[in-house]
Amino acid sequence: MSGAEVFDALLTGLTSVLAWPAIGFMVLGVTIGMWMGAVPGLGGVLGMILLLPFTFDMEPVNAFALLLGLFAVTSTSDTIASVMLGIPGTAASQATILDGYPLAQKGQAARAFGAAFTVSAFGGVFGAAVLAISLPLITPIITAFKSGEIFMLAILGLAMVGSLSGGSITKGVAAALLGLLISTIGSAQTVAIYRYTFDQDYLLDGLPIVPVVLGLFAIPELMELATRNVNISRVSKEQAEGGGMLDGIRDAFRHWWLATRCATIGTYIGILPGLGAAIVDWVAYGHAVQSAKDKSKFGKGDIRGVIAPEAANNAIKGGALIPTIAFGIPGSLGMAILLGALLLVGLLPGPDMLTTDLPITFAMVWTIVIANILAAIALMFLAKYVAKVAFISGHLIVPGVILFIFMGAWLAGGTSLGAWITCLVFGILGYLMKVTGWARPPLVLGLILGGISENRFQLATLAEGSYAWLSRPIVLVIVCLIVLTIFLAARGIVKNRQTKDTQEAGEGRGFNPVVSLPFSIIVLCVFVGSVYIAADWDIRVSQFPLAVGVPGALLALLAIYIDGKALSRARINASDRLSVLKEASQQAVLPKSMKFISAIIGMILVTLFVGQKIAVPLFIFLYLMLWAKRSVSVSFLYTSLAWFFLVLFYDRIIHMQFHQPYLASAIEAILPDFIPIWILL
Amino acid sequence: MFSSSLKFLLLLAGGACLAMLSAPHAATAANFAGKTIEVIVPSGAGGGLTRNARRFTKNFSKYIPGNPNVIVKNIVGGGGQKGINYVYKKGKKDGTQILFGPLNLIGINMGLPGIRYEPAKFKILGTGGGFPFITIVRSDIGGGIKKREDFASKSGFVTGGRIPGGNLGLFSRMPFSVLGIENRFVIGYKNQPKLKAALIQNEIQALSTGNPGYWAFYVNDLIKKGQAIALFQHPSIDGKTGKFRKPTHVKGVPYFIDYYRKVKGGEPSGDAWEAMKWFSSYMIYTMWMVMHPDTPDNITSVLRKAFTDNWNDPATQASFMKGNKMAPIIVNGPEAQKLASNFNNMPAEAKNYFAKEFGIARASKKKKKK
Repeated sequence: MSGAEVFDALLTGLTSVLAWPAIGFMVLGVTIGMWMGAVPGLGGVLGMILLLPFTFDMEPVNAFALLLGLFAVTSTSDTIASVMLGIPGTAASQATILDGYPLAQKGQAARAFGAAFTVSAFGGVFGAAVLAISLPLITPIITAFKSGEIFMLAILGLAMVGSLSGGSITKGVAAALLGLLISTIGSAQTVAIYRYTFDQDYLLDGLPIVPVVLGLFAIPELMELATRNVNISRVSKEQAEGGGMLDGIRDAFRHWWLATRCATIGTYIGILPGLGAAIVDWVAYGHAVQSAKDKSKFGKGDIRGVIAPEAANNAIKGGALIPTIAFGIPGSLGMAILLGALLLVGLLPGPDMLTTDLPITFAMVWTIVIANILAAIALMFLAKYVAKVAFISGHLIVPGVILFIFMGAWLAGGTSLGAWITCLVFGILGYLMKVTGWARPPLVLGLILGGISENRFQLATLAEGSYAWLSRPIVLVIVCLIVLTIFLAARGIVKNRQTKDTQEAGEGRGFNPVVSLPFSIIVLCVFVGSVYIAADWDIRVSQFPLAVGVPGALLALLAIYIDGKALSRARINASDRLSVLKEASQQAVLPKSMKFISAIIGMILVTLFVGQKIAVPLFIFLYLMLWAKRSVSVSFLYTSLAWFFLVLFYDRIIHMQFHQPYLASAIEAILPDFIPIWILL
Repeated sequence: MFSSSLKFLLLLAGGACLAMLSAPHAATAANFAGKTIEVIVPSGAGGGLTRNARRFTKNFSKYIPGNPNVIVKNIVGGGGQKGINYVYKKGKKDGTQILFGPLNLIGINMGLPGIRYEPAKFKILGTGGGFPFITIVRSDIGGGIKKREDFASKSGFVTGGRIPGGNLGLFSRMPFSVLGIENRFVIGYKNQPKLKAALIQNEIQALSTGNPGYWAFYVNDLIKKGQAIALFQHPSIDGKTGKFRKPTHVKGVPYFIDYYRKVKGGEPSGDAWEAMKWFSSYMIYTMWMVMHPDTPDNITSVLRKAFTDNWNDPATQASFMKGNKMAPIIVNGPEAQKLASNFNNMPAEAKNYFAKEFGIARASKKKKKK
């Protein structure tokens, strides 16, 4: 195609997106997308699945205005939950919580939003622009990155663990290995054998990432709000200085070079099939930490920790669209759905999308650009109101968020209470990690990258019939980057120690040896147990679990040694053992935390018998009445709204598969005919 | 001790519970007015099976009494087993939950783990499928092929497959085994796009794809560009005649049996061929529509009729023609029920072949020893 034809297609694409009804569909998509991104556990993939049936008979441009409009902006609005609640709104905003939530705790949520929305819009436009100009580069990139190269990229991602480990590199790496071990649950990669499933259907395909991440990050934060009776912001409105929206926008411009680098990372990770959105924010965050001269503020509310992941996670969508339309190779699950839509409306991915159908391709590019700008403007308007939530009582936030995170976990986890149990177990794990100085991000990174690493390592080796792929040039370049990353991380940790910065707040920096020692022992038992079980399997099945289980056990032993030493130091300084225990218990708010966990266990048990539509509102009502000491009228009104939302949104709108409780038939029988059954079941 | 008012409340609560537990189930009528029927697809939302489920469900409602809302839901995991197990064990028994997808008949025969259903016990509305599978190879394989027959002399290439025990992997392997072509089989690419990427990268040189994948991923791209060749197609076997069907929509691509005769000059035989024949008789049906085993018969028969009527609807057929270039072969309720009962008549030769291919014998050997 000549340059003039390409330019013509570019303009045709723009005019078709701006024409009615395409623009209307885009605005609708953006509006729904902002909602789906903001509510933890929903996300763009679910949004697209819900809208897909409506696009069946649509014109392609209208269909993609709706779907891409939605999908493009979920990673902009997901910042709201990440910053306000310390809960990732979607998988793409996990890293944002590390500095976004501490900013909210300082009363600077609006500043975090200002920076995040600005770089999100920039990242989205940047990704789309790169998509438009780098079409000729795609074939060489896709051809060059085979299984061996993807495996090495996954290892490069894992090397970021050093930057995410907080105070203890031993515990950071052990946590990453634990994540890798958890990723081996489910079917082996190349043999029809299941690992660590304990005959549970829920575990056949491994643990879904959403319940794990929601549990790890959300439950500990909610426990803190509930047990310490605090607001999200630990300072009053008057004390919160320099935390306005404009400050955030200024921050974004001040760190434009970081935003550009991270947007580039996002776009090119998007182009590579198989890595996807769940890793890009971590890689960008790790890059921000490593490239920063002053690393001491990361994890405690450094605005660069918000800018980096937010620029990357919007840019990835432009990048991921390239292989989807040009080759039919989606770079992420969201793109796989989009590919389905492409086929349903009668378009075929391939060279036609870059020639005869180029105006449609450019219409998609424009949709991403315009949607990102629209969402950023709309969210900046809303953000100043949302930021005020940080100053209201935490007790009023906890029950509503419990509803969102447990229903979000359920949506991702499917059809059994396994999703809730996973969420709860990882909630307890997250709480313990938080109070024991075990950083949580390495575990998440290990879990995300474990499946990719094992799969790609085995594919590369089997396809080559040897390990010769290790000597391929790109593999060697990535190995050099891995070494450099580890070196920079090690240097950063040494510098931090020299500045005695390890005992301050931030992920992986809290340390309570009384709780940490038994926790380290439990981790050791998990590693040893997994190795014991895996030793019985064929090499193709056991290779990876053994490769992570053995070093994991050794590092857990080292952690026990470190904790033991710290404990004995604490005992020497304390007057008696009891006071050490008492102090540790107070520090971790243990009795209240256990009560909170028990309440959630109670909600799960009640669900078994009567289902979610009764159990969740009951939990909310009792929490407000008994824990938060609110009046009957406030509790009743709050519960009614929660129940209404639960039924209307999760059942009537998105048709979620609710749990079928033991007493389902009894409830159905006793309910008068004029009341529809979906009210309660 | 309890106060008398508390005793009264406890008695009341106990009585209510007893009443709830002993209340008879309301008679289930086969009218779905105001209800929502969930069509459960045991694979990903963007995949070919889901696209076909959406094509089928688009008009399904108008043939069901009460014209309920019909929606598609995906329950993904365990290579499809999670969704099927769910419908079998926990699915609704009033006809408002129907599975749409392949039953792992080969997995049951081979004792694969994770399968918790007995196909014949489902209430079966029918099944559809019979789309051919197509084998695709790189055109530069082993120094290049000018015409299809050249491939028969190639060896040492890599064939890619999706998941252990999956249909596409087996259909990639079986014809090469029948032809006696030595190749290395690499499984674990998870989905068709990843297989396609590996083919583009020359990490693998051969693969098989289902009919929707052929049209969606290859015809308009690698085949059009001359980078890959559709080598042969594998049609299904007609259960009544025992002969291969010969669909005509994949134009210019020979049927495997004809290809074999051309390059080998005789009729195929052996373990791999027996396996291929069994596979072409049973596993070729990828769109089973089944319900929980306890679904009442009156509901089953109403939905069976709706199933047949919907497949006969010209709009449904046109929709399938658009995506698959052919309408599926439909097996209605009673016939499909027979198919689900007879599937375990697998010949010993086929069993031998599959046991080797799955690799489960080797993988579980250590465990059995212990």
